[in-house]
Amino acid sequence: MNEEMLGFVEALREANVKVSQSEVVDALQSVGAIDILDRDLFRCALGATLVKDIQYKKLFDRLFDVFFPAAPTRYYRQDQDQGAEIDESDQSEQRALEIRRQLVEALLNEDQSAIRAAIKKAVTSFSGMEKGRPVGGVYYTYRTLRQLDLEDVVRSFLYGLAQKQQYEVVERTSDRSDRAMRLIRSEVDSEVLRRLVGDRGSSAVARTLALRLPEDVDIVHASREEIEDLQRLMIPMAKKLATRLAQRHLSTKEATMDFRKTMREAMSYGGTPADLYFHKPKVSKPEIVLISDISGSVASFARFTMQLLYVMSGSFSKMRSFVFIDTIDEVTGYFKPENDVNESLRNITTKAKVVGLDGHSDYGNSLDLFEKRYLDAVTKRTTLIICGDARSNYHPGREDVLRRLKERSRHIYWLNPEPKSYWNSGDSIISTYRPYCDGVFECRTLRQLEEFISTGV
Amino acid sequence: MRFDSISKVEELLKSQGYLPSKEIATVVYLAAILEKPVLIEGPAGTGKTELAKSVAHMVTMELIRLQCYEGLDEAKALYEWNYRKQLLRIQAKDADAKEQWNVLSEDIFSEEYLLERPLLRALRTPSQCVLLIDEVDRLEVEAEALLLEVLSDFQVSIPELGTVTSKQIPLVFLTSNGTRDLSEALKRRCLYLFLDYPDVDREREIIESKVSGLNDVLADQIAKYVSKLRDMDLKKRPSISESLDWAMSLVEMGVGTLDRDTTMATLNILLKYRSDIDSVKSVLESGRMVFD
Repeated sequence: MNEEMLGFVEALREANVKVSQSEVVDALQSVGAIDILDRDLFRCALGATLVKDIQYKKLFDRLFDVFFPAAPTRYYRQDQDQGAEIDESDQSEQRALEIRRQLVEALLNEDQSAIRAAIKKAVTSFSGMEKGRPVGGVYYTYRTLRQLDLEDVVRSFLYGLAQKQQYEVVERTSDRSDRAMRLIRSEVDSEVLRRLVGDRGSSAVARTLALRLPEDVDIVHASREEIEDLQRLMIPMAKKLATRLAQRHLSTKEATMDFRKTMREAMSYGGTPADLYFHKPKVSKPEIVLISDISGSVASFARFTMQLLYVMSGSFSKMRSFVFIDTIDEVTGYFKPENDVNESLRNITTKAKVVGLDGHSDYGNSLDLFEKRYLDAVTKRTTLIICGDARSNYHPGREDVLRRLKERSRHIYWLNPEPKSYWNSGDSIISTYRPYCDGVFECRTLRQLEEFISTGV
Repeated sequence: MRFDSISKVEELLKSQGYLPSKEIATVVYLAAILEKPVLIEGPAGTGKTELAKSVAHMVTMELIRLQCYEGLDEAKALYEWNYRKQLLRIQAKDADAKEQWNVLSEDIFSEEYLLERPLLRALRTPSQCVLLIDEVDRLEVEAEALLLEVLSDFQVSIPELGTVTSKQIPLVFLTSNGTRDLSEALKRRCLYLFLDYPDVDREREIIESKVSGLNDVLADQIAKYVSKLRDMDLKKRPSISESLDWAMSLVEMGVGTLDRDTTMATLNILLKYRSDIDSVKSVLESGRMVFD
């Protein structure tokens, strides 16, 4: 038991969740106070003591399933497995039909345990799992889903739904099918996981999963699901950042004494100034100019940066943004407070005039045009942030423009969404821009972006 | 204070009209056993403060509440010396000039001149109490440190009086809307409970238990509909109390089942922003969210 717990904590820490020693002690104590055979209670107790942030919950749940699986981690029956591995005959097709039918029925009845039972059968018949085979769980999940024919299951499910008479609020069918698909996927996933754990042990499986928190996900290469997680994280994070910035601007200023108010209040203490009052310090907010490369390779990163900065735009006294591929266009006007940020971003991708010649990013030309058209945006109080991988496609870099911009502005920062080890390879010319920037940062994950904003801006 | 079992906690909370999920009951149970504070996070209007109040009621303990805000300091949270009374005492001295300063100074820093604020009061009440520290995330980082000593050792040092140690360990609930990250030190000392919007079933139960004269179909529709709205991209998502308000109004209006027109007409009970109402209306009109 203790062994498993420590392994679990170790895995959490490896995924960047902070778990302190005293919290482990709390967890062990609380586990002693409940009936640990009740898995839900056990999960609650561990969750309440080990994980103190809702963003970590998903990761926690997944690791919990690995370390403390629901069913006994008995290895599945060997004979069944051998049958399914190579057998593509009528009989297996018959079984597949049967499993599909069960699954659809369970989905229609919203019967969790029946769904699980059907999935169990599917994994046994389709995954072709072999003991000790060094293959990741993803492979088995893929095999199972392919043979299960997810599309077909969902189609029958929707058909079944249409037959049922319901008074309830009817959701869009796409929502229903999305949800069903997601459910099947995650169930297959956890079933495969459970069997892998039985085979190889929790810690080994946890390592192959390589779980990451959303903020540690490489934005440029994120999967759709990861992007959704990131989106969810975005707004609360922007709000937190804004609070932090506001507090920093306040606390760094020396406050001056409000003499008038102090004397006025002193009257109630017979002229003794018992309480001192201070003027509220003036908040100095930075002016931001954001220039983003939105060419294919780094578009998703640019989106995130714009989104994050705009959600917290209240923290800046002024903010203008520009996007470019081979020509540059101002997009400040698309972000209006009454508009949804996502909609604004959609508008930008469709309406901004950023392609002049060939649609490959051209840093030199874009910088040059920026200087010609929008130089008034940059003043002594401006912090200029440039997002891009500095891959020039062998066009001239025009670092002289950046030099002149540096003289005009307060700071220039460059955020590069490429891993540091790729910098200056091929057509990346980040080092030619570097001397004119106050800082060049590798910025691949939301965590790095957050770090930059809270310290740099 | 210890509870017999988790189901006992559930039962007690229910008797207060608070429908707990299993998780809530477990965390309350553990908090009482481990004598640890509970940090409750979650969106506004999911019953964070209500939970602390219900716990206080169900064990018939005094509820001491500290409402946090930006600029809250020791004087408002812990204790303060009563300047006015001290000044009066010093001035009264002049009449009887023989009194020594050292006697006097001891006198004016005694119990009599101490103004207890919520944290100190929670420590000094003779019988166990429930301490609710509401909206901790509004505190500045510096003020948060103030809570640490209280929450880990349940004691406080007052220079003039010495250390005040509590006779009993209060049940402490901290609530936060998550507008900023609380310090690791504070989180480490607490059990964590995230209160999200309830799922459809729990919401229906809540509505049914709080609103009388509601038929099953309508309760079900309301719960489903509200959860649907919460999935949308809104500025302010409807809270539990708002869905209760909605249910009550619908009952008052004599509505049997929801349809599109009634919903359109009563949206302003659920949503509090013009833009939210407009976007939901346009979805309703386009027929993408339909009633059978």
